[in-house]
Amino acid sequence: MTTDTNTRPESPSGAARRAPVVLRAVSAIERAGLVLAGSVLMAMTLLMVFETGMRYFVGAPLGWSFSFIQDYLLPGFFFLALAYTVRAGAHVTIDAVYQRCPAKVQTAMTLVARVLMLGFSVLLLWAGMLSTGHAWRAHDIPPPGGAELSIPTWTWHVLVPIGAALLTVRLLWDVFTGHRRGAGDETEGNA
Amino acid sequence: PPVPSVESGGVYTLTVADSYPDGHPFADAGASVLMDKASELSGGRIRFDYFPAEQMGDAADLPSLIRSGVVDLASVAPAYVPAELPLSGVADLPGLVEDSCTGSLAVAHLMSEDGLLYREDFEPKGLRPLVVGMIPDYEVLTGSRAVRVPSDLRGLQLRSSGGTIDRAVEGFGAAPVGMPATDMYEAISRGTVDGTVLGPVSAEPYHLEEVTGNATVGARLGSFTMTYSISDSVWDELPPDLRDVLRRAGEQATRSLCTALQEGNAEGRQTMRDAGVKLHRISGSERDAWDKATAPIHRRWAADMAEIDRSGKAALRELKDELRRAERDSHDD
Amino acid sequence: MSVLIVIVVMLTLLLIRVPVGFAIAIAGAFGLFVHGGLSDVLGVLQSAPAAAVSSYSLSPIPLFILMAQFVVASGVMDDLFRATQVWVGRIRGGAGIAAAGAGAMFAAVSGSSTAAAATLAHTSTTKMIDSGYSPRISTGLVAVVGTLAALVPPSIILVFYAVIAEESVGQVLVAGFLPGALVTLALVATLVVLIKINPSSAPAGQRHAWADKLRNLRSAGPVLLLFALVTGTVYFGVATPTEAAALGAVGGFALLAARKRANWATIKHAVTETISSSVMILMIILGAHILGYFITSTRVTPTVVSWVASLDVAPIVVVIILFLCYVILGFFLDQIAILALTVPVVLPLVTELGYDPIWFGVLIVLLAEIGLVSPPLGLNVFVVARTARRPTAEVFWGALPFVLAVVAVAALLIALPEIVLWLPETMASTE
Ligand code: NA
Ligand code: NA
Repeated sequence: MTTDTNTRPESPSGAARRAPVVLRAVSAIERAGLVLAGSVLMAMTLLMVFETGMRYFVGAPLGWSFSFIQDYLLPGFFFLALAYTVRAGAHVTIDAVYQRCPAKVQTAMTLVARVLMLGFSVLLLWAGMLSTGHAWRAHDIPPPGGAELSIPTWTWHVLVPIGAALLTVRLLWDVFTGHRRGAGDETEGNA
Repeated sequence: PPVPSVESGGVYTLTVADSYPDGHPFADAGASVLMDKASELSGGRIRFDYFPAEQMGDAADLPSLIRSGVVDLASVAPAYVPAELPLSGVADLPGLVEDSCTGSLAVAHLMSEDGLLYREDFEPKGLRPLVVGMIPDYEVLTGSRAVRVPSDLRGLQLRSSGGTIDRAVEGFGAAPVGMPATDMYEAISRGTVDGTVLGPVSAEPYHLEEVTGNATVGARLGSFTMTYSISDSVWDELPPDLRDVLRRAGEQATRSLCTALQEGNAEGRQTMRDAGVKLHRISGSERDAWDKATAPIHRRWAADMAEIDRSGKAALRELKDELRRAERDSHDD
Repeated sequence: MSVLIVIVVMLTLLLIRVPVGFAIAIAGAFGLFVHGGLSDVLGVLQSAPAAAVSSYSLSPIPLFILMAQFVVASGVMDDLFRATQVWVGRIRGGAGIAAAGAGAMFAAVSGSSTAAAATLAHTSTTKMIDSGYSPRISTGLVAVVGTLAALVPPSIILVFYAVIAEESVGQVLVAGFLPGALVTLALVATLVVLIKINPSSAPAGQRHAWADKLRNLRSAGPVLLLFALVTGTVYFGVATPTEAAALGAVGGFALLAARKRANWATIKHAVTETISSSVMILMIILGAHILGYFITSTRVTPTVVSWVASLDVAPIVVVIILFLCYVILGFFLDQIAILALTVPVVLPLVTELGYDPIWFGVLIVLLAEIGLVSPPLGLNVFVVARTARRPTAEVFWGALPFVLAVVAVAALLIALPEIVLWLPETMASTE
């Protein structure tokens, strides 16, 4: 069982060489997602420290931080960074069988794996758009003065389809360019 | 994609889910009675596939699981989904309901076919309440600080479950603190918070009588209202006679549930008393002080509803009318 | 039947190298499709993914990881190893004891076993080998010491257990403290015995002046402070676990800044690593959430519970069999995934049999961690072997005696549950 962060990328296939613009765009969006997720992590840390201080020393907690962390910061952190982590090979895999297979079989395994992940990602995108669409049309919004900030709920529902869309683009790229691992790929501009 | 039919060979099988464990009054006196009565009255033409205790998702996710057809009938509590059922929070406002049966019958009326809360909240969400349950008499449970009048709450930090109760806590001058219910016991015992606000019936499952020093009796800080609601599209699929069966079974469940919750609150108080918790009964002039502090909370709530284009004023007026009517009816019996 | 098919699908997905979180999610979606069609799949996917990751109780996980990243980047571990070495240096095998001690202290600020093993391999293994230790003992020891991080608070996997078991996160975290201390003692004892048996496997000790000792004591200060800031605030009720984790992350950053290592590149690296590890964990949780809907629909859990309850065997036998299963699962599967897949099914049975969920959680974490240092898929061993440039088999053999020590501690905890439960119970008592 390893994460494949340390494996080197395959040499770019023909398709990858032909479409560097698309690749750069995909990578740039993923990096933007990563930067946002990093900012969310920082925001969560500082918000919690501030909340603890307000509660302990001032005796006046913010009140909304609990639901804000639940609804926005945790999902934002996860879905915005999901595509980047898949491209960077940060997800744990079980390599015992894979490593004992000939190269051709390995290629086939990787292709099947990516196609299945793509299928899941498309379903996630579809479902996420359904729930976001519902929240949007219904004008769901927590009333002011409660424990939740009075922001329309589609603004957190939409984090799922955003994350799924990024992931779908990444996996489509991998599948159609035969880009087998995309692991720790410095050539994609991950400075 | 279309949701498959619940009907097969003349038998209608409904997937039921709730967020309450076996033994909780909502499950035992609400869901079980609804299901037993409906099977009995339908002569077995309605069957149930029941998943209690959040097996099918958190309380806040159940309305959307009904909408998407994963479950057909589930517990739906406005306090868990204030963005989806904002106006129904009226039922949880402080100072209104003392007796679970009066309260839940009044609210059930507002949530039935031509009721305001059905039209405004449930119908647009594709939900139809069959059973209404209500834990009235939210009290303040504190560690060491005793609470008798609203001004005693000033500056306290109280764990609160969200929804309308949060604004009651805030309106009385305390600070609501959100945290998972499972952390509540420890938070009170270690002084992370000063206490909590809940119905006496809910104190025992979390063993709060062990960490509580003081509790009010009759502060009426608010209620917790929940429903068992069925998917509107499933409802439309049912033949008229089975809809009637579910309606009647729901009414019986509402009555059995309110009796059980009333008893549950009494038992909860007894458990605390037995554990040595000091109970402070709110009386006479103290009651006046609570009522006086409650009025601005109602006004504030109605104003907040107006801000999201909902008529809180009308909901509050209709609920008060219904409560008076329900009380009159119970005296006539 | 359909459960078996879905399990086979999941294993196949894992073997063709679908990442663990995705394999669980895809297998779950497949099961839902077979069970209820596309509408069920889309229905569950409309709420489960957001619900899975938007649980407030999970928020300590990224924050604990961030704290450990900052501590590692601060380089304090080198000092810590050196300080412990100076203090116990006189004894033969002092550096080994120092590695165990420094590992235990690092465990007090790191929540991830494998991350701890990697850090310790960097700071202590190579130094031990250079100063004359048998490579087998030094690598094996460090791989096992890494698992302490999952036991001593803070622990990511114990936070995760608390969330799925619906137990208090604070109590579950604190419950890991005494078992962690016992494992540390057991590892040191094993080391001493190994050196007694074969004195040539460790160099003779070296005296250090008291001035040297006192000077080195200083480096332990910040780490102990950080431990107090996190575990202390949770234990004494100053902060909730999430708040404590955030304090820890800020404290870790302060340590980084105090040691003048807080530059843009270090911070960026720490944040990126935190995101990678956390998203991986959350993806497993998301997958398990989806699979959970399928498992629930099949009603396999109540069926298994009532079947086992009907067996005419002593509850302790059932629980010990379960523990053996966790060791075996640990050989093959990621630890978070094991908990996500099994706890919802097994815990109702364990509580039905009358056992404490906190005790059970600490034990399964301890036992599943054995898988990290045993073949075929011992992640800690791979990490240590790679860092120390030693053959994997050597590290596995080296870890074996220490694994036996961990098993002995587990046996003790099974016999005396109070060791696990005493501290969390003191948290809950009224003043
Ligand atoms: Na730890
Ligand atoms: Na293993």
